[in-house]
Amino acid sequence: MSECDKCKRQLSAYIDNELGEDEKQKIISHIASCKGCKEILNGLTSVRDTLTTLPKHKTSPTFNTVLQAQLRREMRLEDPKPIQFLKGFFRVPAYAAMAVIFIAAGIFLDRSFFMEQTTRSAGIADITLQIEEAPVKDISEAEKTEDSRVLKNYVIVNEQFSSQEQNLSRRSSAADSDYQTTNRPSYPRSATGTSSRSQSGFRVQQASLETVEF
Amino acid sequence: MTNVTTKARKTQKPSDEELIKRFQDGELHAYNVIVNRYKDQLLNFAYRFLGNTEEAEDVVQETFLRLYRKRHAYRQIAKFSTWIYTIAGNLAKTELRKRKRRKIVSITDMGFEDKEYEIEDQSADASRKADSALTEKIIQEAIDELMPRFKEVIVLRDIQELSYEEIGKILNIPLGTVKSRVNRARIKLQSKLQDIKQSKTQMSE
Repeated sequence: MSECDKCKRQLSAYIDNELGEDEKQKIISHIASCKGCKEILNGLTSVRDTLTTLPKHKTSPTFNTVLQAQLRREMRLEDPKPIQFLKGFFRVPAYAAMAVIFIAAGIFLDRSFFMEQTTRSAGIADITLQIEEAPVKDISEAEKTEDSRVLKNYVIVNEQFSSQEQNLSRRSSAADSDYQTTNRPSYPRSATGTSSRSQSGFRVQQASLETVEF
Repeated sequence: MTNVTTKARKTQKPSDEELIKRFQDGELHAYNVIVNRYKDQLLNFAYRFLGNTEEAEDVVQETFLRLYRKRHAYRQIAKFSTWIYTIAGNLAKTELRKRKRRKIVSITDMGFEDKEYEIEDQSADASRKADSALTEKIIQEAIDELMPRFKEVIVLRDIQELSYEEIGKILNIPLGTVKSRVNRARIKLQSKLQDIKQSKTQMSE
């Protein structure tokens, strides 16, 4: 490789001050005596200067707003769960625990719902009447079926209220409203609990998003 | 004396690496600072690489989304700027490939670029601005024509003014390759600029 070829390869690094002292000195001494390489050096320097003086482009005024919207979507995708304040591995047990609580609460409320009816006059009067016609007499047999728990309750209720049958039809309209006001709140209450939790979870998310201001 | 030192330290801007650490620890404000610190320089980088403002802006948006998504992938062993430029550079290259595929589909836009040189404003100031815009347009056109491997080094070096070492890390290439690519890119650019200028002169005659 000729001296000129070596020099030409190094010229940009020389312009950018990216050469070691020895290499730099070699280039300096070569261009002092080589007109061709000197011209190339000037040309490359000119290209470099042209590029460095180009105007700097900037992001548009809407850049941050767009990014913020995208981030909001990203955060939702990343963490769509209502209990997002729980981090990492605590999440799975937390959901499992919640599921157990809900199932247990469901069973409990379901039972207490019907048990409660036994102390009330004819809270589920017409339902009791319908069930009475069902051919379920033996509770142990009924337990084998899918709806055994429900049927069992109906049967219990049915048995306890069989003596009041005559009053039932008369009081059924009042009982309906009674049923709605006294028993239903147990379900909506749990439902409200879930949604408020989910809302509060979302609020946490939104609050953190509010801080993404550029 | 100690108070003065502490005060001085407090007024100093936090480094990129400090900010990303704080962001990794859950501080969203640190992310905001990073975005504001890098958005314009990344936009300029992406714009010079792609030659299109909208695409460049999309690339920068996506870069910051990736930063958010992959924040825990960053390790303090690397310089943050290297990391973010690597992300932006890869996205820009992907965008370029996508565009290439799109171009193959539609070739009907050819000749459109020439219309942008029709400048008719007569005032001296407008004329100067137009000249400068024209020069920039010509240079950008020359950059656009470079092969991606030359384009990326020349943009990182001459437009973003990064060191050879940092360019090597961003592009994952040895220092010797950076040196030779920068040199070759400048030579190619020089000849392209001459070609474009010549063809423009011929067209205006």
